[in-house]
Amino acid sequence: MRKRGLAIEQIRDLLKDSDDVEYQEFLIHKQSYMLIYIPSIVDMEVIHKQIAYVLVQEALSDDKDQDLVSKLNNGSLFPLPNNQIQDPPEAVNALVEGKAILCAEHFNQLYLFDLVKYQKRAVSESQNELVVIGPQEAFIEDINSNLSLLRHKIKHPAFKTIRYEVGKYTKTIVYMVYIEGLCKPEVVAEVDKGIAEISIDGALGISYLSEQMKKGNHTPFPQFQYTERPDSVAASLLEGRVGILQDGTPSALLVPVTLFSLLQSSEDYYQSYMSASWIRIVRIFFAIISLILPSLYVAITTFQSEMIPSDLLLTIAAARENIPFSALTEALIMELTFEGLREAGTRIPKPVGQTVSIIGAIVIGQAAVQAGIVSAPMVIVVSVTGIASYIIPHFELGLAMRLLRFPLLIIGGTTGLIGVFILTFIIFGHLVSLKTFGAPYMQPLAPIVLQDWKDVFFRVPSPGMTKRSSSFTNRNIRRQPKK
Amino acid sequence: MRRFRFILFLLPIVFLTGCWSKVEIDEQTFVFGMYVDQGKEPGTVEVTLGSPLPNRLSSGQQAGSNGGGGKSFSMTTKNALTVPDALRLIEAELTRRLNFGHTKMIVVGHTYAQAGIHDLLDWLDREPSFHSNAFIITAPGSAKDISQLVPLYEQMPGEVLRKMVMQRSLFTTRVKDALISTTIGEGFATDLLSFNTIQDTGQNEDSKWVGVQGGALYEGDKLKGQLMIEQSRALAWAIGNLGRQVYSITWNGDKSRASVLFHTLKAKKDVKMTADGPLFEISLDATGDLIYKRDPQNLKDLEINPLVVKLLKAKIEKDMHGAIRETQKVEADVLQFGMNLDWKYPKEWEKLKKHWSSYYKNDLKYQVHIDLNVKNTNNQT
Repeated sequence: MRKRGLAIEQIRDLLKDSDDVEYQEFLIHKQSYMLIYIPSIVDMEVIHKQIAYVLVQEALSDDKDQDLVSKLNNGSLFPLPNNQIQDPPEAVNALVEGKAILCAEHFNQLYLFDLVKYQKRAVSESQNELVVIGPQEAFIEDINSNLSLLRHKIKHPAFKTIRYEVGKYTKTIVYMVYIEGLCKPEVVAEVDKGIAEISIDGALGISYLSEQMKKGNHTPFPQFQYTERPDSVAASLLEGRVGILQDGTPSALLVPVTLFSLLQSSEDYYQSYMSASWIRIVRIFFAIISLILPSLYVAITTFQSEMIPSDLLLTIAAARENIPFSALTEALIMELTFEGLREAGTRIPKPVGQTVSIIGAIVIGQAAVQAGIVSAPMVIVVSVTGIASYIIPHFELGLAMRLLRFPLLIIGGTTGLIGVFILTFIIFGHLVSLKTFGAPYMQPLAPIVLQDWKDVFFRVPSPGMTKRSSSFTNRNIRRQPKK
Repeated sequence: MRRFRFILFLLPIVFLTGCWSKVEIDEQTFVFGMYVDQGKEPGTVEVTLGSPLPNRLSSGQQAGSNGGGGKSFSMTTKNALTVPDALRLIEAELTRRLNFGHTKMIVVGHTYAQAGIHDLLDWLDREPSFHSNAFIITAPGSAKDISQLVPLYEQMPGEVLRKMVMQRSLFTTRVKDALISTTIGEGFATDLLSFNTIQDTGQNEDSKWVGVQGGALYEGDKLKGQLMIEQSRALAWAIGNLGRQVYSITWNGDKSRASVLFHTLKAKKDVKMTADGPLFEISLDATGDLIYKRDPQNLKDLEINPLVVKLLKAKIEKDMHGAIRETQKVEADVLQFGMNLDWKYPKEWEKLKKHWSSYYKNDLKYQVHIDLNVKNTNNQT
């Protein structure tokens, strides 16, 4: 008897100062049962209808022959799956994860009911990766809903979901998802090892995982692709990539990553191949623009002014007349202002969001030029660059470009085109030598895989893409029969 | 090792460039036109530089509209022994550094050209920022006078001249052509300007206006002779790069006349070895439309077309022969037959090289083939 009391006492003790834990006692045939749960994270309706009600019915019934515990054990009492455990600390851990414990007091038996129901929002439209044509739904914070969205798209037993728990305190559920037979087993093994090795207090966003997994690899370029679109994840899995979903965050990670996969939008595959190809070329062009335009402008106007067509030179010269700063200073002022405005625009609460755009438009667009502090062509250059960095479909890559723009700008303003070229080459060399999860970052450009060019700078119509991208997979290459 | 390689990459930045080579746009004067004359004292040179004044083109306004009032360009003249000396004197007076990266037009004064432009060409050859595809033309008198022309459509005189040359209505001789010709000791031809005054609309005083009156023939680096406009046209055609041209002819005792606009003009030069020395062949090829016709005889189209072609051929051939005769007179191998020969029959060239000028003048054998295609004889809208 002492031991029985100990189990319940131990639980109470472990849950001391947790006032939101509910202890519901039942007296059935003179035996006491205790139902323990946290009302905010369990499904109360199920508690009431499927557990409490059943127990009350049992208490009211005259059938005293059959022992309640044996009914519990053979699963004929509750319509819910339950499992039996012995260890009170384990039970407490389960409790805080949203399970209900039924404690049969005169037996040292604890029954666990998985009734977890967290607060979650409904599946909504994608906010950050917009498409015009194509699926609109996006992941939410609840991992089961996210898995459901994925399973809705891929209905095949080869679709594998490996479950992990990350975080000592948060016990966040993480799933690695992939399609067996499409992806490289090395990648799966590496991701598996990477997630398993993570030992942190908590993982609140998916970047907690990605940062832990890319230990010692310093590069401004993203090595993981973030997406909030189930269709992007599904398409990537079909290409042989591996996805990582985490509970509590609406974004998923995709590995491996190549530069060109970050320049693709899911819209590319929903639009006609001609317009998609054109848009893709425009996008690559603007990605380059967003990196080097300000530095090129500064370098050419201060070092290589012979390169500018005469008429354009006159226009620029006329605009630069009476500007007190050097072109480099001017560019830095404008770029910094722009970065500041952009950051303010992102963080500002929506109701006052207008303020930033008004001030930004007035400060950058009008006043700075009229006051003669910066020249009009510089404003154009900075604005074009600003727009260009938003054309990159993956925000992380845009961030890398924004960051690298500044060293380029400074070297362009101090050493001219030669400096810009050399630094660009260093960046290119870095990109070429970069590998994420065994995939070269610049494939299929370096190393050259001509077969894959069908889906890089342009997109050939779907019947033409008979093979999977070699960047991500090396087996089961054919994705449709040869015609 | 990695770090070492990284430094190796950055090394050229230190050696090839640096902040010290930085010049802001508003610290430079961009020379758009250069006008070279003989100086007042013999043996000297007078250089005039035309450059835009960006502060007169205030920003926000279209370039060229006289923003701050007054001319939007400046002309600076200096006399000195050599071209670089003159430039140094000019630069000493300016607040900004001279930049020749945008010089597109060089006008050479008549007397200076006759004395030889070797000095100028040598400087152009050595100045690294100078673009050798700048045009070179010859003024009828002093080049400085040309710089006084009133740019009605363009921003500054240099631009007017450049756009005129770029119409390809006659020679489009560039500095590099002149450099090549003088180096191999042959000749070249440039536009020869004409200079007159017209009534400027909106202004009371007469304005100076510049046109093209023909060609200037250089032998080596010296101006030796002139060509009339018709002959210049034929010669420019043979050199290549001639733009649209209108040719008119008359027949039936000046009662009937027709004009043809040739829009594609091509030329080919070749040399063949014959028993009595090299035979040079010039093939002129053009396609054009009949744009004007007056014919009291009311000939049929089928009759007019061959007639027009025949008359045009005769006219062009006559111009061509006249032009080559002129160049022979001054021993200026403008068509660079010598180079053709050197390219195709180097041994023969070795023999003729020493007395090429006299050979060109006296013994040159050449043929002119003309192929004309006149279309749309009955085009009426």
